[in-house]
Amino acid sequence: MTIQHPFARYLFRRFFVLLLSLVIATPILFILLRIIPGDPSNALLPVGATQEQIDAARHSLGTDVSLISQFFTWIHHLVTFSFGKSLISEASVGSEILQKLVVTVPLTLISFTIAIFVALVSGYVIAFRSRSWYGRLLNNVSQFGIAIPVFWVGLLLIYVFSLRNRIFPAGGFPSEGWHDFPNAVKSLVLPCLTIVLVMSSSLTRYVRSATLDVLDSDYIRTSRALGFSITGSIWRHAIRNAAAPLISILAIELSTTFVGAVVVERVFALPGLGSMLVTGISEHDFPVIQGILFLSTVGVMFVGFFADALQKFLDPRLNRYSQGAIN
Amino acid sequence: MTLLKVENLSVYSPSGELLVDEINFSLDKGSRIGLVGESGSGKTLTGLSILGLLPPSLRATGSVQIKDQSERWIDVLTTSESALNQIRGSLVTAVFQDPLPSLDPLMKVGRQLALPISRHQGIRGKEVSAAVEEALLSVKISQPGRVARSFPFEISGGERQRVAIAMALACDPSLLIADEPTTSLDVQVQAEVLDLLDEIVEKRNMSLVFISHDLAVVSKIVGEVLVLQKGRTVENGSVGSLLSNPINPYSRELVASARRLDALLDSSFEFGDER
Amino acid sequence: MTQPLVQSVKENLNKRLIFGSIIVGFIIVAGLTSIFWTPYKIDDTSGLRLEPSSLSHLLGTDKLGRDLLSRTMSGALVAVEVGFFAVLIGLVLGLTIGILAGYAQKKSDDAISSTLDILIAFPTLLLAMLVVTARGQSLASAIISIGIGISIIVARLTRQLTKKILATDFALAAKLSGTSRIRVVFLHILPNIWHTILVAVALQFGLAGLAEASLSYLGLGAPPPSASWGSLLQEAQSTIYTSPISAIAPGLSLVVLVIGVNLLADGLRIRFDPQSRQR
Repeated sequence: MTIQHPFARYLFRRFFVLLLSLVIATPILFILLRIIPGDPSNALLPVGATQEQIDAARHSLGTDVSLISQFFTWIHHLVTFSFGKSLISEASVGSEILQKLVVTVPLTLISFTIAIFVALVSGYVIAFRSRSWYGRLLNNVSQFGIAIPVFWVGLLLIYVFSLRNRIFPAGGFPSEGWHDFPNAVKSLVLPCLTIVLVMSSSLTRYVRSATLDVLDSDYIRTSRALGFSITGSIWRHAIRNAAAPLISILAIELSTTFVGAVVVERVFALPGLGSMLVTGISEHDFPVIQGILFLSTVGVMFVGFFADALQKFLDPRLNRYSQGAIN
Repeated sequence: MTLLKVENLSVYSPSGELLVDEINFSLDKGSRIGLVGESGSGKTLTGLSILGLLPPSLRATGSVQIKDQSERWIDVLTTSESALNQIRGSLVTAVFQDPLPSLDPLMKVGRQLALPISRHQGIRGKEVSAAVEEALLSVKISQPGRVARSFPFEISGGERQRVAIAMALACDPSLLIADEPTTSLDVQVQAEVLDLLDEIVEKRNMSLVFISHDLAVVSKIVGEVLVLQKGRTVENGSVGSLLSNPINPYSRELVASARRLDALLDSSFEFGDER
Repeated sequence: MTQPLVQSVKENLNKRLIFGSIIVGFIIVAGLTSIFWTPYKIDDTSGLRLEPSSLSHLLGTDKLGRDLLSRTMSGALVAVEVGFFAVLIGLVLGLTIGILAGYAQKKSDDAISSTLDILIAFPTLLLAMLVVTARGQSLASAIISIGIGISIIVARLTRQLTKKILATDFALAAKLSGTSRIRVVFLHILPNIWHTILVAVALQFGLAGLAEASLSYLGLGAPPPSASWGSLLQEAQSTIYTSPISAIAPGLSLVVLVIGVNLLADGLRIRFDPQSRQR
């Protein structure tokens, strides 16, 4: 099969790389989780359990068969999206994950979008108004912001907005979920604010340096030598040129935001994927851990794929994963 | 009739170091001058001063005056940015050393060339693409259609520099600053681009400030030179007298190396003929 | 007017390095001191519960009556340990992979670098959760996973720098004169890249502390009685209203550590490459 259009050809190759890395990552994840010290069935058993109880526990876990057949059982779980059953709640991991995404996805995406907007404005202001007082202030705030742990910001916000002043709930999510829309929104305000404060600081640093790089560039000088104003030159040339390198950073920062959401869910006791994962780890609930980590891996890889594709679309010079990788 | 007067121009680095030290020269309409020196001699900074495009961290003193269309003198160093935007392009513009980074890497050549054309000629739509093609032809690009549809990285170095020249000419300036316009090109293309510049400047009766480290190249296009070393003028006068009788030791060195290069080029061309 | 400018730049350069070193040094000393001496034993519950700061308990006590200053000092030790050992693992692994990739030919280099490109996007905290699940909860698990995360960053940087140096004339000359690869690595590559790597790794020292704190906060770090700043914060969450200082002290220590490390790394960068000051 030959594909004519270079961009389509690139997409095709890049998608092949994506599939290949998934095929490699899946068994690695499986093996890593199997090299645990001790027997996962211990988590299910009382102290001093009889051999029959142990065998029964192993059977229910599926660890009484060979690793190879365990692996294929898991693959079967993956392709049917069931991800097996939780050892604790015995519910299907797949459907439980789906329930938790209702909290985690809005939390991640809303925070990320707001953080990008904040960063675009403040990074631009810092790059252009580095000598003004607000430029300096933003610069210092963003430098301070990248040093703050996200859960501490959450704690301080709870202290100020929930305990000292009872404006927002200190945690939890309405039991009716999004059907109780006003309260659902209310309970996500502080978590979102927490993530935005931390993420926008690091994003601001990237926007700032991307903007400065473009400002230093020869083509802006050319444009000005032809009589175009600085602002006009920037609108015309800088945005597209600064966007391309920012996209790969945004892809990585999206995963960081997701991790931030995982932590923040614990701070605000939100019933999301993060809480499910952390509980799963402390309860040695294998199928849950495996399922969430696998989905996160898939997510990270797909985001990388889309970022590369978008970047290639914006910057035709890039030729990664095809002949002659640059750099 | 004088077009450009540079008087006691000095440029200081942020740490107070003197980068350009009291440079003086003037240029008549339609005449040419060369600024020669190695890197760090201050020749590029002098060029940028004339354009009012020095990096904001550098400080310039003295005066750089250009006569505008209504015969008024404008001091580039003290004029506001918005007034400079009126001067740049129409009165003075530039072609820089390396055409690849000088062009927007993500904008097709045709669109990029259309920007100064539509601005200075006040035209839109279909007319612009015709003007773009004409501009590309005027700098002797044989396939204007292909070049216009390409990104800068997709065309040759010679073509890129021709495009940069076309962009500069689109504004129909009275003064062109050419900062090492041929340095990044290989020898054959260098000669072609130099011929093109020579022809265009002659035809349009433009003034030219030609900046180069290479005396051999400078001597082919200008009659008068300023030899700069570490920001100072060490010699000025006609190319002829400089070549035959360089006074300053640094100039002597420049002349000697230019001769060596010339001899080398001549001999390599001869070899080429034999093959 | 120009002379003071030079001085201020020089002063600033030293300021960052000096302030950064002082802050980081202070935290290291506090941590090391906690090995031999803390005002109280970190699990001594003899104090009153949730006492505010006083002369006998400078930072007050927690809900079990343990002295918070002692626990914060001990938390500094955890942060320093994690930073030091994670960076060590990251350096050894990262330099090895990076130099190998730098030397590798097209195909294998492509394979290594695209693997690194994918791994760099995989968050360290998720990696740490994986390691904790596989190895069990311990300080070592945290150190190993954070170290692996750092090694990916170091490996990418090293590969890039190695390629650049191998493309230079003197590396070619060394190759032509028959110098062995190992000698080239020690004579040409490492001496030319160590300062760039040092700056990158210095930054990671602070981030390692931050990652460990997140892990401990989630209850997945070193198990008690070890007192990490993250677990201190987790314990403080339920009592933050009555005793804000219990949440402020460890959190602020963490912020100060990271800021100190950032200043230090910035100071080092400027020291090695004064041109980068304007960035």
